[in-house]
Amino acid sequence: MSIRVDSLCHVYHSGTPLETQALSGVDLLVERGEWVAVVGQTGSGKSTLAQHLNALLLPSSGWVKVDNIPTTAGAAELREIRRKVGLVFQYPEHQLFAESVREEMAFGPRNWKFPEEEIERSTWKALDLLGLSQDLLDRSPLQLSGGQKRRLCIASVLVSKPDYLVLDEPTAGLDANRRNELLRILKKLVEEGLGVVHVTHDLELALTMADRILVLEKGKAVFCGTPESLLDELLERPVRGLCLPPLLEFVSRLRSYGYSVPYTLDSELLADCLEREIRS
Amino acid sequence: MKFLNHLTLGQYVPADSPVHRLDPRCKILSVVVLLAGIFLMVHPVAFLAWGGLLLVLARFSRVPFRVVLQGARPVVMLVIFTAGIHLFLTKGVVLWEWGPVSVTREGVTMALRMGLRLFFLVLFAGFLTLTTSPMELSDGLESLFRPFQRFGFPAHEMAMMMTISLRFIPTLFDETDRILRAQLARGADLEHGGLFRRLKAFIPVLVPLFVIVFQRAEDLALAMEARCYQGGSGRTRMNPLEWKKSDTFAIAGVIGIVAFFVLLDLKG
Amino acid sequence: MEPEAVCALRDVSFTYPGATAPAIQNVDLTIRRGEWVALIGSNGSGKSTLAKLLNALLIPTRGDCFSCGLRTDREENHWAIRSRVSMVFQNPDNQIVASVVEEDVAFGPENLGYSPGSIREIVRDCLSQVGLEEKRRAPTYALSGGQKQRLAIAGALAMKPECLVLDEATVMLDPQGREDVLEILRKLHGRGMTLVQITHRLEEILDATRVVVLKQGAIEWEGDLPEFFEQVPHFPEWGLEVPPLVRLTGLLKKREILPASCLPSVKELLENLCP
Repeated sequence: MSIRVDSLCHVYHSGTPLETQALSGVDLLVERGEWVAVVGQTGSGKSTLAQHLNALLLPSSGWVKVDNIPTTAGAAELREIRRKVGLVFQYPEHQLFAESVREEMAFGPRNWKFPEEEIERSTWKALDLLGLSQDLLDRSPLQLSGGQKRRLCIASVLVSKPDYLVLDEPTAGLDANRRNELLRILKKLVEEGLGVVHVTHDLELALTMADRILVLEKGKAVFCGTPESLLDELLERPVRGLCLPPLLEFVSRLRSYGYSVPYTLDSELLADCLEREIRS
Repeated sequence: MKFLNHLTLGQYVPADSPVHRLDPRCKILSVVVLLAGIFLMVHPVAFLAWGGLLLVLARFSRVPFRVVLQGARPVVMLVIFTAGIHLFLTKGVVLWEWGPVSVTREGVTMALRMGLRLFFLVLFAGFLTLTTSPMELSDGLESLFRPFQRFGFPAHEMAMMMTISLRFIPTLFDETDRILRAQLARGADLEHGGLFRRLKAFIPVLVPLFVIVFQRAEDLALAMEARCYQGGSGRTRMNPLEWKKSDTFAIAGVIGIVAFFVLLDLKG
Repeated sequence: MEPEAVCALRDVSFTYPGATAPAIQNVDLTIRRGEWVALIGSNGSGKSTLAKLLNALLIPTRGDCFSCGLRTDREENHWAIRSRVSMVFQNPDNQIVASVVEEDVAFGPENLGYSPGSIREIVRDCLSQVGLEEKRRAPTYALSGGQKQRLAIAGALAMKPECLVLDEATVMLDPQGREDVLEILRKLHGRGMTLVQITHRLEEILDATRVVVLKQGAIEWEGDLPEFFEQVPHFPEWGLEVPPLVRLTGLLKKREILPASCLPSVKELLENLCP
């Protein structure tokens, strides 16, 4: 049970002067219970890839299979794929429309024809998972605080019981406490068996949270592997399209001065190594 | 899957041409004269003259003629519909009959006349927006309507409103597209069911759009206030409108040509 | 008010209409000419409200606020204040008025009634300051997020302000866009511009001359950068993340590998370790 992406290509505005190749030959595997980060700069194709995972976009060539069903299958399969793979866009607060939190939550499951009593049960569970109180059920979504709105949006996708969740910059604009709270919740969901695809330009976040990282540059996959192997890879060669967070930038500069310090986000370890290097 | 695409909308094509350099007021007035001429003309064949004029203007403006023609694309259905109504509903000498449906000689003439009128109307108006930046256009309108300010007509406010709407059209298209995708991802079905169901299905797209528009309006008002905007009084312009000799020649030329066409047409 | 002060708040409180709790409480703050003040705090700490008080977009409900020596509660001062203390907001899309880049930059000076010739000169100068002179005639919707925010800065600069207030101006940008904006701020500050930078990213305040921490509408802490980074144990209660480089710098200082004055920036660390 997994999402498989194989030699995926996507061309926008095909056959016009504006033709652009957004993805060329991308492979990816996302298992349930796994956190995969897709890292790249603006225009690297990461948002395009995200929309392929739940069939909002269809491949120009190559294929995407969700639990072995290709996204190009047929209308009925396509609807099921959209349920299985929940997609949370960047700044999802903008999609809230219902009069009450209860109605907002029921939107997805009603579209997928869930029975009413199941919607109710699923709503409670999803709100609970996202740390939202049931007292909010009759409030207007627009009255919630910024952090609550963000969590409501994710809950409103989880309520349809997806097996995978694709999130585009879910922590954008949140302060430290809200960000950490959201990340903690997502981690817990992954432990309970959800497959998470986290699209971000924050490499530091990807390195600390993800099980595997895909690095995209100009629509091509330039790296795919565990955070540890990405850090090892950096010892060998710079990875194109990566914007190093300050600590790794520092390590890279130190190494160019001849220090043999490892690429790591563990500041204790780095301090030890540096101390040893300097004292010797 | 086909989503919204604002690139197909007839928008300003920047270029350095004699047409682009004309005062926007001159262009607006010329279009008004042209539209009057188009309405006065009755013979379908005479419309060829308008086609020729447009071709010459397009050449002067360095906007490809193909792009000028594309301006009519959004109204093709309307043109066909209008022509169709006249074709089948005008009474007169019957040319062709099939059950209750009949086509008359007068019907054919009317259909061609009305269809072509609408077609050229849109093309000339579109040509104006292709060769005039939104800012110039609203400056031109503001200046033309300024005399009416005395009677309480809010010329400046109208112009500012137009500038801002034009500025936000592409942004709102993108925004609508994003919301549409977000709701599709939550299982919204916008393609099936009867008209009523489909209209209802658009509520989850329209409500967030309204919220965003109001939010943006509020933010923009604040940002404009922060940049010292206090309405039209005391405001100057970076490129004030300047009526040149060439503008006088241009408008005189347009009036002359239109008058000539219309007279020719009246004579038969 | 001291002669060097660009903005001064004296025991200022502000409550939004209809709200029960004040958004800003008893704030005393002076921003002096040439300073780069970083204003930090978690969401809802009152940072944005404070910024809007500085240029008379909001008027204190209690206390006095002066900008450039003028009281902000007098309506006749608003124009002068807003042109001298100008503002860049969070969402670049919501502060661009015109469809063409140079027309947008001209908006401020046009409102101030400058002559066409001087407006054109200002526009050229401001666009070159933010590196957008090539995009002079480009449609604004086709710009990237970072470019839009640079355009917004140019639009604010066009009013020839003494002080620029940036309200979370980098939040919606990617790393490259953020760096471009910071580079512009460094240059402006080098030329004597007073800056008030609101942010919750500590990586971005390394050039500030003073840090002010807000918590629940009140000033919680105030001091210079080296002092600020000695407060790391307090960061969680202030709602601030401790970036790994900041943590590393702290550790190296404790082990006396780095001097106490060293800032947690890649540049400073390297200067101290690899002379």
